Amino acid sequence: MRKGKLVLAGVFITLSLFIIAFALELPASRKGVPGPGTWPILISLIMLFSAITVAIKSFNDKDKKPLGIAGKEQVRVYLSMISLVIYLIAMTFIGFAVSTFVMLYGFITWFSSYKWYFRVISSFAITAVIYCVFHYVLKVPFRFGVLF
Amino acid sequence: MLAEALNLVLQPSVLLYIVLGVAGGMCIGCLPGLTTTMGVALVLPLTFGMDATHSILLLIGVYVGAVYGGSISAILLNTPGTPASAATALDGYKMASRGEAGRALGISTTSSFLGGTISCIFLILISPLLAKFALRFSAPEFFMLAVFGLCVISSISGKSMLLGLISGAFGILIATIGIDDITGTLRFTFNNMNLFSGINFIPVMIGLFAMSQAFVGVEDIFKKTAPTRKVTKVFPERSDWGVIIKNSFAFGSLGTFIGSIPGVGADIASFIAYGQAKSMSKHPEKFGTGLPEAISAPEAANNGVTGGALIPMLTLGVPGDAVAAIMIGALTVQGLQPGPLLFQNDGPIVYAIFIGLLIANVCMLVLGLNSVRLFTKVLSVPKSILVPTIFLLCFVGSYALANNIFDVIVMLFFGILGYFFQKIEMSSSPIILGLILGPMAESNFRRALLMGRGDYGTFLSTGICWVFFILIIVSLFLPMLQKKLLKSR
Repeated sequence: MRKGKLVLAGVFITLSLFIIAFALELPASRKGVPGPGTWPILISLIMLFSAITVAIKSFNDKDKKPLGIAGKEQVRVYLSMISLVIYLIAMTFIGFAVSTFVMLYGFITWFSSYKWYFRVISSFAITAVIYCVFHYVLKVPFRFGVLF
Repeated sequence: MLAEALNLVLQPSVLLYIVLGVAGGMCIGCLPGLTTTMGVALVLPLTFGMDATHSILLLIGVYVGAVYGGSISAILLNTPGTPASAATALDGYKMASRGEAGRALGISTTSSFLGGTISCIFLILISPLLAKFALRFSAPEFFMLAVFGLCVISSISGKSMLLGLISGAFGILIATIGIDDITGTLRFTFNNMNLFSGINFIPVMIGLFAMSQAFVGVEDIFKKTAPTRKVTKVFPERSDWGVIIKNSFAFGSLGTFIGSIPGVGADIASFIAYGQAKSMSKHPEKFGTGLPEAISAPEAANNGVTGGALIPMLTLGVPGDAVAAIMIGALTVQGLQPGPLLFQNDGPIVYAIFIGLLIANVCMLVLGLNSVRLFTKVLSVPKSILVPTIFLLCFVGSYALANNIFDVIVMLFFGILGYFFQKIEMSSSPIILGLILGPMAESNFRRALLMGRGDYGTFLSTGICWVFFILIIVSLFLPMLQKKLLKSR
């Protein structure tokens, strides 16, 4: 947990410094009326101060509670995240229905031990229901990709 | 106004949506791992094509149903469906273990109904008065109000105030992306056309509350859930009614009050109510053994929050909790701006929300007492099907907002971020509140200085500003003082 908080503080310190640097390039205040950069600078300073305090506190902290980001369960989550990024890319190139069916079939196969025909039917049914509700009822166009 | 509101609500399609919302909410609520916020966030995209009444009342139905639904799995499985039902599990499961599952569910259903109804009455009585008072607010008061909301949320949400502040500041900074309203300058857009109009907070919400929760679900996807207990008749015993009525009035009111404080949700309300019921009890040592009052108190309080959270949302445009933040999103999509002017400009909608909330509570009572056995079947839906379906709904839901793939990318980014925030015990709620209150704070900050010709004294120029200033100081320093007091004890 301690290491995690130090990393988090580092990320937000960098982010706030980055925002301050960008905001300083925006038009300045006029006659006491704040310009577009004033507010982001003010908020970034609050974030910077808080992140530095978190870093100092975490540095002196003896908390040895594990962060729980490197276990077998978490690796499964990271693989899911990667799969979803691939699904997003595939969806724009292949098409919504086909890539969704493949994504669902893949996840259900991975997460369960159902017979192949159950996996196919459930993936197809979920894809069909979501497609029909959003495309025909809510008029959401899924016009992308070379396939359906 | 009331006749117009009744006209809006008493349409068969609106009533059907409320019933469907409550039933859907109960299904979502009773499934462990699916939170109320996640349920409302997932249903939100379905409302984009609806009118304001259908949309907001469907979401209210889901909200009421999900807060109550959490108690079903808490009582039957000892696994709270939502964090708000964790306190109910302590005694509810013990009572169910004695073979009195129906009685426990009956107590929770009736207490939830009474708590929710009381909160609705408070909402009806307080909101118009507060909205009328808020009409006196001008830019400095609105700025101070927004700052107060942000401070309360940051200091209460999560385990660390500093992490809450970082989270809230991050939300405010995200809200600054896009074209500046006053000068028309582009801020932090990096020449990306998708960022010109800013980042919409709906995909951010879906990512933070639904997608990240689904990732948590992947972690324990192979964990087996305990088999559910059989429920025969759902109704409290005659001896329970005294306790139910007494507790529902006291803790329903307490829940309403807690719900009206920005950032404090149903989970905190139910634990406070449980603690209070224990300290007021003649036999506190029996708490945890399956006492009716220990089930009734948290359930009345968590449903009391539903109406309470809507008070600041409708009257001031400040969300009481994450669900109220999503409702602000739903109203904004419909072209309605929550705040004091909502009562003036769209009075019938506001009163329709009041009536709809009452009807949703009645639906919850009827469905809870008659169809709980049906909802227990939902508990057998396998996670291996549920989690991929949630992934898909998150994708389609964020895409449906503007038919833009960029929103899906935003959702996925915040879903991943929300997962890591959970790991580090950093609350995601302040980000959303920052996104909503940030623009309100900034525009009023600059407008007030424009009106006051650059004089910062304008922020303390009226009595209301001073009240907010004192509240800001209290909200920032009270948690620190409480911590020090606890340590010294």
